[in-house]
Amino acid sequence: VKRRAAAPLVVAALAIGCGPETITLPEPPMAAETAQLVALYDMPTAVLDTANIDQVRADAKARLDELHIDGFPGVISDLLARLRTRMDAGGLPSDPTAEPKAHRAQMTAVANLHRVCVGWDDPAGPVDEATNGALDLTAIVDTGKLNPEAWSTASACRVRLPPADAGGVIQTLTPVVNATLDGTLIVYLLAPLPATAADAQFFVSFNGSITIDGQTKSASFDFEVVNASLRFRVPAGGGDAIVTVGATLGIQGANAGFSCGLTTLTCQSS
Amino acid sequence: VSRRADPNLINMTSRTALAVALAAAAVVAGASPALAQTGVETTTSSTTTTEGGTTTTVETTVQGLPPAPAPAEEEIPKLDERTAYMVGRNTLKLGILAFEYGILKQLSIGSDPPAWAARAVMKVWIPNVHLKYQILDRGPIALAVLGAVYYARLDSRNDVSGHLIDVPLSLFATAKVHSRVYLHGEGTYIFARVSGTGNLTEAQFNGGAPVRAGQVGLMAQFRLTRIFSLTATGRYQVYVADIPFEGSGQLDPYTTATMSGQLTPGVRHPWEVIGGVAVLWKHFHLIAGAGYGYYFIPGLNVPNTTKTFVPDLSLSVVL
Repeated sequence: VKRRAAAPLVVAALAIGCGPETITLPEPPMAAETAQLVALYDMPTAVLDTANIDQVRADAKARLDELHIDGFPGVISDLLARLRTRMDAGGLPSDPTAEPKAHRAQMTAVANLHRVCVGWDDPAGPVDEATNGALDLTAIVDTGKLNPEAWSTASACRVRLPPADAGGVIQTLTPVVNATLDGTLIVYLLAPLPATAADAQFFVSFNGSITIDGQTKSASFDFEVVNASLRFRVPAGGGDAIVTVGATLGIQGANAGFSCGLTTLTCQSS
Repeated sequence: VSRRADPNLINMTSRTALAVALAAAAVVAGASPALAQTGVETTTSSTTTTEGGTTTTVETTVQGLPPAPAPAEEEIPKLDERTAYMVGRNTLKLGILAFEYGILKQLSIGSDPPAWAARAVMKVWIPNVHLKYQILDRGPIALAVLGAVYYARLDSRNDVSGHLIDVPLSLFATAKVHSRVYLHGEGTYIFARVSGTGNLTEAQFNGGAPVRAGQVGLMAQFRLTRIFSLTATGRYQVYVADIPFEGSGQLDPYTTATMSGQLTPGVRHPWEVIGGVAVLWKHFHLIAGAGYGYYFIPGLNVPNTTKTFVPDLSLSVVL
């Protein structure tokens, strides 16, 4: 009788004592390279002059037309805003620059978001992962501090570029297209996780393929969103120039900056 | 020379002598067991009287009454909080640190009001119950075990919910090393488990969180009078482990979030020392003291994460 009584107690004790094993945080992919690229946006390396600026402007416009980079920020902002919601609900930090308070209990965690892509319908149709694919985002918190780098895998993800609900936060120069994304997105936070798309400030690099209008292209590009402006990198002048999309195209090199009209196709030193 | 005795006088003295003798016999017979036990002194005397030529001898046996039993010494009240002593059978104790009811002499059930009251600062209700069982009370040594269960439901916003279970298991050992000196030792292991991934910060108190931990405590009690004692208490967390958690939730129809991780304590080896007094009247107990270190929430045993003044106050009514 005693053994019978003891058995449930032992099981209960084991159930209480056992749980998930101690967590091992995954390593963010290409962390060093990502940090270098982020730094590059603050210190462009291209040597620009009046002789090569028109070519740089043309390359930037071609890149926009080909890859629709200006349509991507809405996709990423939306994902980050949902991550923010989850982090807040769990009492986890959302600001990568915030230092955890000393002598406090700290959380170490891996957050994974699985988001079924909304597809090409506007408004979005019902959830259909088989048709529309998905995005998987991973973010990590190490001892109470949010790692600024998160990464995502796009698997046959159908999206509109820009998304229908992007709200025009980022100025776009290219028409709406239906795209399918396959590849890896690395996101580096330049500010706290956004509560809304308008608050988002981040760097993104993409490696993979994009299918637009039935044409699949391998693509590798990166861009930054800062203060609701899109910036992307264009090889030029022995280095990299940073192009800012707005009412004009701002092109910044190591030695000079230019402002190029979108319709006049002319650039002026700024 | 003898004179003939007056028959009336003979009759009278004989009746008196008989009555005295019967009375003495009755006393002896009725009290004999007690006398045998108490060794009551017996005195026999004889009186000879000559009156009117008649000599009468009266023999009297007198036994002293047994000494009045010494008044029973009042039982010394025992300190039953964080010791191996019990509240007592059919005894209800209502206090600010614990409600306790003695089901048996060796078994009591109770709950900790501070954990409920923690709602004021911790955002969650923590219902709890504990059982205390005395496994040994022999001579100067007493042993008791106490098992408690504390439960907290964590926030459930955005379909994210979690549950925290905290189970302290304690062994108390009390040794009466001198008629006035007691040592109360305690060893506690705390199981804590989180299921789901609700907002763990809501179950934290000033940065301290429930964790898996081993703690030891020692209280020295020096009894100055029957009810008044001086106490010195120390507590130290010798072992601590992270609490893993894991869970998932649906943020919206398109998005599922999965979270896995662990909660790491801010201070791995907190301690506290407290000096105080215990006043144990029959129906009212007062324990008060002050100390320094990392304040441990009574019962829950969650330590604060900064060193500070440590108050100690327990008031209870014993019914």
